[in-house]
Amino acid sequence: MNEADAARPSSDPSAELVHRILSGEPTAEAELVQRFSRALSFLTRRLARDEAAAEDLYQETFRRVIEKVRDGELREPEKLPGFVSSMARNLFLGSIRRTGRRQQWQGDPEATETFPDPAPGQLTKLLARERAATVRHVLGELKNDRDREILSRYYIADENKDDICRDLGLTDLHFNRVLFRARQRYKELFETRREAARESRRA
Amino acid sequence: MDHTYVEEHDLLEAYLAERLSAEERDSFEAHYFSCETCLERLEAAEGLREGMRRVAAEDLAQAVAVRAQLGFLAGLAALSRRHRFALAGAFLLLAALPAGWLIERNRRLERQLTETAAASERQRTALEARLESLEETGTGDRRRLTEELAREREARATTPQLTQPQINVPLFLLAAVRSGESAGREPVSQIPLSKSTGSVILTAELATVDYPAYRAVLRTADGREIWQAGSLHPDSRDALVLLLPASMLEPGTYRLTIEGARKDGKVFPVAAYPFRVIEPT
Repeated sequence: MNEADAARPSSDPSAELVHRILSGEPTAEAELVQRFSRALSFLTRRLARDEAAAEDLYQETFRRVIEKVRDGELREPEKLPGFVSSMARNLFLGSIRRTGRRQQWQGDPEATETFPDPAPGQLTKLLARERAATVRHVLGELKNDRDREILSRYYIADENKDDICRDLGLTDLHFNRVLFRARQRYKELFETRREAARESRRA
Repeated sequence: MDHTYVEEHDLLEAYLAERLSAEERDSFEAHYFSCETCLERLEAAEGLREGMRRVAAEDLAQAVAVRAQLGFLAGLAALSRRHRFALAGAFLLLAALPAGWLIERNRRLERQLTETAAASERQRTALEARLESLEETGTGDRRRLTEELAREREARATTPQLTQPQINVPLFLLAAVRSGESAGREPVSQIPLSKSTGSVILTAELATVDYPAYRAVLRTADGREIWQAGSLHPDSRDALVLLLPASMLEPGTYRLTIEGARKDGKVFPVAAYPFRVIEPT
């Protein structure tokens, strides 16, 4: 992308952000991080599984994305969201190729970072325990055993949705409803717990 | 990839179960990087999925521990009397050691409880003060609502209402189309309405019920809005049933659009139901 392109205004929010970074606007890069922080955090945790490794992948992805945007290497600025997500995935896959070990992010080979311990850290364990407690609450609130069976077969045994519906004589709609309600309840409980934790930290 | 496509193809769950092709997965990732609704749902679903697995693992570990405990009790029963007394003495000693620590912990917890009660009292006082100020504001709101109610009553008095039961009100089940599918096509749903028809019932079944409320908009073929309503809730069969005066529907093509409304007020397209009103043959 040349400088004339950079100066051109755009109606697409991603393209506009890229143009602002190219124009050297000081707050634009921070805005990029803020805009994609949550989604990237979700993706890196999914990829790397361990909190510390995910955090390294998160940092490295933003570093590379900002570098490439600054250098004008993003040819289609409106595709910035896809650029960030594919950068994270590519960095992760590159790491696996180099090390031959899945689920262990080792960062930039050029950087002199210390490698994270592949075993789950204390924070990861704590989060997992909290998650389990919330899920127990959700399960306790389910109306019948069949709903519990749906969730167990779908989420634990990774069974196909169509198979579960056929076995239990369910419609697609009922299945989606059980999943939706469980997810909603989980979200509410999770938010309540997070808010309580924040309150206690403030106190 | 847009939000409607994600919902119609159930991509969220397929993504979490890693059942998407690499191409679909990349597109969906690009989508949720700019779609807060999808991201929120993903976080909740992933949390639930991981939590379910953790619960299963904990239950399994507990079952193994119970089995080990049963084995230990069986071994104890096989010991001689002297050995059993010695073992019981050792257990008592082990139990006595943490007792002191427990007493101290209990005292600490009592202190915390007292502090929490004091904090609650302070919070209660603050809430009472806030309630008083809200009550003052409420007086103004009540006056405004009374005025609105009066206007509503006046409008109702000037609008003709149904006073007699209606028999054989025409009832039609509308067929939904996917986004972009209906452009230039003849609608599947054909509704014959004679001039003497008083009202017509339209039923729009929703594929999923993912929003706290819905909004319905009825437009003519050229996009002119002729009716709209918000804060709608599907019935027990996940359908929105609308009773419309037939005079509202001249022969022609219409499009009923249903949008989901989130708590923060943002709306997202859910489904579209094109239909054609024809004169009966």
